[in-house]
Amino acid sequence: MKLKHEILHSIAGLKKTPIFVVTLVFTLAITLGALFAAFNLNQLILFKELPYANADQLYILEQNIVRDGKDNIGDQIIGAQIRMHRLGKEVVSSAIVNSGSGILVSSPSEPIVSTLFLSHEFFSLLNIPFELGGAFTQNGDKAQLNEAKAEAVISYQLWKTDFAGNKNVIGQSMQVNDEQYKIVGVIAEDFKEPDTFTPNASQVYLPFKYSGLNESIARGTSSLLSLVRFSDDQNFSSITEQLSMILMEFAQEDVDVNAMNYTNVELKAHLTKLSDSIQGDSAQITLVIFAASLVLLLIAFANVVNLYLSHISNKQQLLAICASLGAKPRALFKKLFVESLLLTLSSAVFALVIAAWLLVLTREIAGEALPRLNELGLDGTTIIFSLLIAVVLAALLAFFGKFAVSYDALKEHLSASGKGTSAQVSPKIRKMLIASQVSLTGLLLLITSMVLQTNLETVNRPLGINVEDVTSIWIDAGKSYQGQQQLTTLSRRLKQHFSQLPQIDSVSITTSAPILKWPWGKSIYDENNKRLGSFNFNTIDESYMETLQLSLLSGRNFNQEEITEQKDVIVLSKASALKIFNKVDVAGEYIYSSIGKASLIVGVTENYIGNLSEESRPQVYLPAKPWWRLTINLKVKSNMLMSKIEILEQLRTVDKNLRIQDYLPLGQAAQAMFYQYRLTAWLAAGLSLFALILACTGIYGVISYSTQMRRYELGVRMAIGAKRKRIINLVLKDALKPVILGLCASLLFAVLIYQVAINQIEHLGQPDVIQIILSLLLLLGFSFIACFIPVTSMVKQDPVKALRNE
Amino acid sequence: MTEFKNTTHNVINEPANKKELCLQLSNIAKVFRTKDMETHALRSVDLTIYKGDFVSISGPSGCGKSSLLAIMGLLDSPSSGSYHIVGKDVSQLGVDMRAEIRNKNIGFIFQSFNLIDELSVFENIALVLRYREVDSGSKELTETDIEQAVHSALAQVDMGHRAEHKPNQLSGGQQQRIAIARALVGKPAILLVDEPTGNLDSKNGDAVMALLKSLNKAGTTICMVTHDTRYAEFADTQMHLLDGEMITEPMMIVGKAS
Repeated sequence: MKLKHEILHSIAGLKKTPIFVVTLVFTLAITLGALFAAFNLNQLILFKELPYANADQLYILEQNIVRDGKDNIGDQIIGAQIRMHRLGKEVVSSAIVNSGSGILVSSPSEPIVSTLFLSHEFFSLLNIPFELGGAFTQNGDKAQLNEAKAEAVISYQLWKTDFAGNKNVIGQSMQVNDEQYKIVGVIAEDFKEPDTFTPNASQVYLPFKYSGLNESIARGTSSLLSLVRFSDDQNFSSITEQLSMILMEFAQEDVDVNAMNYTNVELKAHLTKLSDSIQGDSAQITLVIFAASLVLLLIAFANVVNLYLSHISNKQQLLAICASLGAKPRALFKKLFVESLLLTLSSAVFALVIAAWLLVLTREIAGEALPRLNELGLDGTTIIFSLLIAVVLAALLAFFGKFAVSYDALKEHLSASGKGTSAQVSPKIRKMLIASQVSLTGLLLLITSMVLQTNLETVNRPLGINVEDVTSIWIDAGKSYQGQQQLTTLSRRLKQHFSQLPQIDSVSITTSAPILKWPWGKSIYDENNKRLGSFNFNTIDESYMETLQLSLLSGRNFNQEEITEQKDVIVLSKASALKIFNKVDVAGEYIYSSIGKASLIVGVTENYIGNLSEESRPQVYLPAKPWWRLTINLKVKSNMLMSKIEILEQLRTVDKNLRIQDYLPLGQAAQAMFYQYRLTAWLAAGLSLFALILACTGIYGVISYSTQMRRYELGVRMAIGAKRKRIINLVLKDALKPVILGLCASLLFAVLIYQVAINQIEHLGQPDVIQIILSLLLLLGFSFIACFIPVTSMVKQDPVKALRNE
Repeated sequence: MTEFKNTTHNVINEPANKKELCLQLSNIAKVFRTKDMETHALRSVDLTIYKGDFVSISGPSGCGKSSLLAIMGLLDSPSSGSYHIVGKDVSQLGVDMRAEIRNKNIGFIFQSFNLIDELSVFENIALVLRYREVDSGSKELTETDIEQAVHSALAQVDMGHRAEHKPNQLSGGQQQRIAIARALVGKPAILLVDEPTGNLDSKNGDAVMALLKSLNKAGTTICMVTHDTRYAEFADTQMHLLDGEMITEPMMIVGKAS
C-alpha cells in the first residue's frame, strides 16, 4: 500500500481513539521536551565551538599560588598580574581584563552598569564585531596601558536602552563614575562575551588605565585575568616558564607582597584553554541532566508501550482483516510503524515547543551555574535529533506491537465467536513492563524526594540575621575622598546624618554588604605563621550586630576606640572559632590576621548565611575600615519606607558628589540567594508528581486491558456464584505482584546509586528513612488505586454481558 | 460439478463435462495438540471444486467447517495433506506467498462482515487492491484503475450510492453486500463464504443468498459454509461435515431421519 494511504488510514484509526492519542502524545511530549532541552544543552557545553576565530588558540592566564605543594588558582595578586601582562606582551599576545561595575552618571537614572576594564588587545584577540565604530585607538600594538585614551565601547543592549539606538552615538561623551569617556564603538548584537570574565554580559568596556589598579597594589582579587593567544609556532612550555619567571621576580622584590607572606610560596603562571575555562565542571552537570531526562523518558516509554499494547489489542481484528485480504507480515508492520510514527512525530513537535520553553527556564535559573547559556537555543542539530528519536521510538513501538501480535493467530479474530478472547500479548511481558515502570518511577521518586528534602532544608534554614527593612548601600565617594582617613571621616558623617532621620532605626558601616555573592576572603595564621585557611571577612562598626540582630555567643563587639584607632582586634563567627580552636568560647585568645600581626579575639557571633556558594568558608570580622569600599547598612523602622531616590538625596545632602554604586535591599538579596533552591525544590516536587501520574496512568491502562482480557473468565466465575469481593481480590492479587516487585527493585537501585553518588557528590545529604518509606507507600497506594478502579468497574456490570462479550 | 471423496466412500459421481479445476484438497487433516490431548478437527478430507461451481458445506457445530474454510482460505495450515489452488500447490508455501495468493485468488466473506469501521465503503473495498503487489512486467494499478474496479464491484452488489458512507452507517444486509463487493473487486478465483446470513434476519439473508446465486450464475465460483440447510440448498452441490469427516449422503448425518 502506498504511504499516502497508509497515513490516511492511520489518521482515520487514531481519530477513533482520541484519549489514547492525547495520553500517548502528551506523555511522550513532556519527557521528550526535557530530553531535547538536555541534548541542546549538552551539545552547547560539550561540542559546540566557541564563537571566536581560532578559539583553540585562546587561553586564560592566571596565577597559581603554590603553598606547601598545593595549587591555589583563583586569586591574582594585582600588581603581579599587571606586571606579567606588561612584560609578557613581548612573548605572547595578551590582554588584561578586570571586571567591575560603575555608575553611568551621564544617564538621568544613573544606572549601575557592568564594566570591563581592559587593554586594547582584547578586541583583536576575540575578533569582536562592531555595530558601529571600532575598538580603542592606540599607538601601535605595543602601546602601554597608561597610554590609553579616555574612550569607551558600549554593548548593543546598552546602546539600545540608554542611547535609544542612536546611529550618531560615536563621538558622544559618557560619564562613568568620575570619568568622562568618548564613545568609539558599539559592539555587534550577536557577540557573546566569554563567561569567564563576568557571569553577565558587560555593558561598558573601558581602558584598563581607569580601573584604579596598578603594579604597586599587592592585594589579591579574583576579578582580574589575562587573555592570551598562542600562535601555532609558539612553544607553550617555554612561554609559560617565562611568564612564571616574571611572577617570581615580582614576588621577590615587592615589599607588600612579602608582607603578605608570598615569599614562602611559589608563584607560577597558569594557563587554561578558554574553552575549558568557560566549561569548568559544567560538563558533569549537563551530563547528569541528560541522564536524568533519559530515565524520565524510560519511565514514560514503559508507560507508552503499555498503552500501545492495549491499543494494539483493540486493533487485532483490523489487522486480521488486512491479513485476510492479503496483507503480508511486513505490510502489517509498516501499518503499525506508520501509525506509531504519526504519534511520535506529533510528540516530537510538541516536545520541541516544550524544549524551547525549558531552555528559556534554564537560562533564567542556571544563568550563573552554567556557561554560554546566552547561546542556548533550538538549532538544526536538535531538530534532527528530535526527528531521529521520533523514528527510533516509532520503530520500537511497532516492534513491540509486532512482537505482541501473532500473524498466524490473527484468524482467531475473524470469527464471530464471543466466547472469550485469548490474550495475544504475553502476561509475562506485561508484568515485566509494570515492574520496570514501577521500579523506575520509585527510583525517580526517591531521588527527587532527596533533592526536594535537601533543597527545602536549605530554603528553610534560618538566615541568622534580620534582613527585614535593612538595605545595604555601596557608596561611590569619587575622587574627592582619597585615602582611608578621608573615607573614615565621611563614613562617620554619613552615619551621624542617617541616624538622625526619623525613619531610620539603625545605621552601621561596613566594607561590604552582609549578603554578598562573592565575599572577600582573608587568610588567618597561627603563632607559628602556619596558615589556618581562608575565611570570609568583613569590617564592621559597633552598630553592625544591632542593625542586623546578629547574636553574640561570647565576648563583645568592637568599641568605638578600637574602630577609630584600628586596633588589632578581631571577632570570629562560631564556625571560625570551632575551625581554629575547636570551641566557641575563645574571647581573649589570639590569632594572626596576617603574618606577625596578632589580633585579640574580643567576641564570637552566631553563624549566619551570607552566601551559599562560599558557605564552607567561615566568617571573621575586623574593625570598620572603609578601605577601597564604603558600605552603609540602613535599618528602616517598621511600617516606614525609604526609597533609593530618598537615600540618594540624603547622601547628597552630606556631599553632592556622592553616588550609589550598589543598592541592595537585604530581604530581596536573601530571597534571590535561595531562589535557585526554591525553584529546584518546586521542580523536584513537580517531577515526582509527574512521574507518579505517568506510572499510574500506565499501570491503570495495562490492568484495565488485562481485566478486559479476562472478562469472560471473570463472567463465568460470577455466574457460578463468586462474589464481587473474591473477584476483586483475585485480580488485585495478580496485579499487585509486579508492583511490589518493582518497588523492591527501585529500593535496591536507589541504594546502589546512593553508594556510588556519595563518593562523587560533595554535599549529598543523608537519606531520610521515613521519607523513603513514605515515597514507596505513596507509589504503592497510587498503584493500588490504578488496579482497583478497572476491576470494580467490571464487576459492577451484569455477568451476562461478560459472557456475551458485550 | 464438484467431485468429492472420503476415505470410507468411493467416488459416487463423476462430472459429465470436465471443467477448469479451481481448487483441490487431498487428504487434508487438521489436528490441534495441547499438552494433554489431541483434537482431530479434520480427518482425511478430499475436496475438488471446479470453476463456476457453487458448493455448500454444512454440518453441526464443531464439525470442522470453519477449520476447513480457514485452510481453504490460507488462513491456516493443514497438519497433513495437499492443497492446490488454480494449479498451484500451496501446501508448503511461506507466509508472504500465502498472503499474495489470498489477495489475488481468494475472496473471503465473513459472518460478521469484518469491515473496517474507520474507513469508508470505498476504502474498505479498495483495500484489496492496495495490498496487491504487481508482478514484474505488469503495470502497477493506478488510482484510476482502483476507482474503476471499486465502482464496478459496488455496481455488482447494487451499492454504488453508498461509496462514501462508513460501515456503521449501513444496515447488516448492506454491510454484507459491501463485504461481497470487497471479495469480488480483486476478481478472485473463488469466493469463500463463512455463514453469510448468520448475523442477518431472514429477509436480508434471503437477499444475500439471492445475490450470491446471481453471482454464481454469472460465473463466480463459490464455496459456502453454512449450518442453515435452507440456504445450503441454494448451492448446486451440498456437502456435509461430521466430526471432521466429509460425508456424501445427507441421510448419513447423525440425528437426521432417513
